[in-house]
Amino acid sequence: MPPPPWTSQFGRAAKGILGSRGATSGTDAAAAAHCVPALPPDLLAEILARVPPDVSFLFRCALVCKRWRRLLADPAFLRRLFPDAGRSSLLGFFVQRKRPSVTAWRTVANIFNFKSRVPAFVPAPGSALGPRRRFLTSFVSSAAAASFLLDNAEPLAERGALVLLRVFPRGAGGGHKMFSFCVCSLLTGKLDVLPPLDAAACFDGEGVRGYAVLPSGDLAIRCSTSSRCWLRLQGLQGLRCPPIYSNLFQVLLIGVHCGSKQLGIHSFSIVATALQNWGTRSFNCLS
Amino acid sequence: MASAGSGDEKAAAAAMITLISSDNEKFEVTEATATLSQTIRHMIEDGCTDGGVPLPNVTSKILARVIEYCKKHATAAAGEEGSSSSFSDAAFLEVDRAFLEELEEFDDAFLEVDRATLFDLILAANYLDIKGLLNLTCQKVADSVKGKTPEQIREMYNIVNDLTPEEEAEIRRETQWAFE
Repeated sequence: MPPPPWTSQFGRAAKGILGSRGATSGTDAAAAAHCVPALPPDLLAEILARVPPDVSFLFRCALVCKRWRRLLADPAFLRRLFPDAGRSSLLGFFVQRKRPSVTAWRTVANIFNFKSRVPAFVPAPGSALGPRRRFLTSFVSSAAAASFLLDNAEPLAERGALVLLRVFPRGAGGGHKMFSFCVCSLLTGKLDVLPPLDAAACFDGEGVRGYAVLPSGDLAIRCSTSSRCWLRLQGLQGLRCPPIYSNLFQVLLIGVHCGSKQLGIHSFSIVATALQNWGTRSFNCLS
Repeated sequence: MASAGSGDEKAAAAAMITLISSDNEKFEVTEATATLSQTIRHMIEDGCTDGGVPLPNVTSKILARVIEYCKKHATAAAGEEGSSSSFSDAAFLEVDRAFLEELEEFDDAFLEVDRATLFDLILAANYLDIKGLLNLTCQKVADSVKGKTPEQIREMYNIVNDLTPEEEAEIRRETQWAFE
């Protein structure tokens, strides 16, 4: 049985590395350059499967070379690294001090020692966000600014570890007519404040009926030119997507104008880190 | 009982396997040592070890190290089997713990090799299918890149960065938070 091609290549590489780095000739240095790539792919996987599954470190590893990047983007490899990820997509849920019954309040207060009305996160067993109960503010990189903004914030929708929150910034005029939203990424700690939306102008008394936040992975599936994006939205609910670690997203608000029987969708996108303003589409419910 | 036991021991001692390295050096090892390698275990089961087992992918230098590892861990495995029947005995547990510590020290010392040897050991462990050794050596490499920047990893293992500047910028932009 002839030895596989990588052994001879590796043998050369080993000689290159054994020689002192400064004294190596040009060819030795070139051979040494193939040191790690000479390991067969399954062995590189064996090695990288044993680094701590810290997402930010894996991204840094992906910048080493094409081979490493390919491996780290391989779904089979990622399943091996995060065996629990496929089993339960539930990261956890939020609890909040918000007019609970007295007994319920006591229980919640005992668990969290509530000082603020910031939503508190309770992780599901085996959650990718770790076993610790924590306030939403602890996810955000600039916690001081966040605690002011997120006080009394109301979680509305979550997908791919992006949480859409309605916020009530103090001193903001317009009362309930203006809707303020922000999107918080639980993985990256990024907090994006969306421009306020004049809800009265967009939706009448019925208000907003539905909320959605779509990470970039979902946006790729969704056809941006479609005039029936709400149908596609329904379709998206059945899709299982792995969490997308990205700061690109789209927010959709859905409401109904009773008078005109029009379904209105307000969308807001952050694409390539550039803020875009609210866009509006209307559909006739009866057509 | 006693005579039957010693008879078994004699049989085990008699079962020696000859391993032949790529540079034609012969190594005599017990079957217990050799069967830590799944590859060799299957060969023994198939009865094709007469006249020695040629290992064309493993040099004598590396094979000697691999056998050193297998000998140590084969005794460990035998010790575990022996003590499992009397696991309630605290004295035995104490002995076990001391032995495990000794094994860990052995593993640490075993890994004190240069990178070329370490990679040769990984290749050999993979070829011979020795799970413990593969885990040990791969973990050593994984530990060495832990917490390093891409540049440091490339430097350590002489990896050429074949990503185009555009690809690199794209990954960095999309995952900027990972580099802060």
